[in-house]
Amino acid sequence: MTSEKQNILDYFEGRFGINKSYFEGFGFYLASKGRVFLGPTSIGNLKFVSVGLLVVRISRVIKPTTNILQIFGKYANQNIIMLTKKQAEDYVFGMDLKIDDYASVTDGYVILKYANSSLGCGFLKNNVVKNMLPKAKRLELKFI
Amino acid sequence: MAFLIPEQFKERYSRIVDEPEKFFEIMDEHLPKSFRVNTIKSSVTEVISRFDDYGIGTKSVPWYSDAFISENPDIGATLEHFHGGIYLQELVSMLPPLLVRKELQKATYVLDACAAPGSKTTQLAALMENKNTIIANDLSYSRIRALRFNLEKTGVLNTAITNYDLRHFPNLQFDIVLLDAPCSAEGTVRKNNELSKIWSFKQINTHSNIQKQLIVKAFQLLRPGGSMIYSTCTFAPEENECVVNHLFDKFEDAKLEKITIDGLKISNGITSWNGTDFDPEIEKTVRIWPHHNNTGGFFLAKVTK
Repeated sequence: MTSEKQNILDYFEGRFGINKSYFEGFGFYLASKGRVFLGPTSIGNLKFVSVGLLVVRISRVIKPTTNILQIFGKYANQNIIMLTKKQAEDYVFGMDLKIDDYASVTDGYVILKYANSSLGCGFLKNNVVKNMLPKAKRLELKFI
Repeated sequence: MAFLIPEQFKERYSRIVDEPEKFFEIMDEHLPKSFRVNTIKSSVTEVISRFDDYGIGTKSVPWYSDAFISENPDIGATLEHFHGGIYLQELVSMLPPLLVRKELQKATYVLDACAAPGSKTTQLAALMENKNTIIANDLSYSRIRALRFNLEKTGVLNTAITNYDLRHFPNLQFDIVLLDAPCSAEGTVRKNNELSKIWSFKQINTHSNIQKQLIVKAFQLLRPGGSMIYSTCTFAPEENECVVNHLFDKFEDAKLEKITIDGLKISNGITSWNGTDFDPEIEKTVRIWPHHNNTGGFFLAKVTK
């Protein structure tokens, strides 16, 4: 787990500028299919259904999850897209977003923010943000 | 639509409630909707200022600064609900974690013994600032799905989920144990209006027998010096005072701590029921009657070791 943990910490710092120190006090747990969970460090000798929250999936690349970006997004300083109200509504509803002229952001996973909240994760390519929000979390907002 | 209160229910509780008519009347009334600000993801100032902007009215709760009442039916369609900045939760269900608020500051290992769907677990995690460790256990695998969903939504990282029958839980020692026991749920009637369909004396006795086994095991999992909250959302003394009294019969080192909650009207536990006298200490348990604070019904005991 040590090398995966280091890769994950390097990824969050390199891609989003999230300092490694924010992950101190948490344990990394490797599960099947390249899934890594972030949870408490000391859990005791029990048979677990799950520990903490899914933080990334590791395949050829590292894929961050909505869960984790919603929590740690506030510590990020790069590859963040500030959404308009309409874009935020569309994102929460599950739609992909067309983004014009986002010079400071590079293609790849991005943090989507609106009104001081990190809403989650998107994948930016050719000025389109692909919606990564799990279907169960999608919602038609009435107040935003 | 009015529902029928079973005669046996009326007879039983007329004996222990202060104003029976007011109690029976409010059981048929709609329960105000409430939510808790999830301080892992947001803050009271942020949520309330945004709700003010939306024109969603909120009313504060005198005994808990993170809790609010709102009658707006669309509260589930707010950005704050999507993002997990608020958690829809019945007011009385916020009480068990609050009673150990001080102890949670120092606790490193906490057990939520019957955790699903996770209202109290997510609140514990917020009070612990997402640090140290909560073990959230539930017997029902299907209910664990809801628990996982809620932990994700509220951003809870300090929790691991287990699926044991509590009676066979490995012998570990916890600083704090929450036992929100499965019960006949009489106190939730204002939410679902089905008392006449679900209520039976047999139900109460079945639950009581299981609860006695659960409280014994939960107490064994508590380290000396630790605190345990036993709670139910039912009025039945068989599921409340009788269960705590059973623990007192079994363990000499079980003690009860007096419960006070500023701004909430509570009633002391009863010390005898159907001819059986309980340990006088049982008076330190509390029952929340719906007509006293316009809430659901609840029972709480704070046990120390």
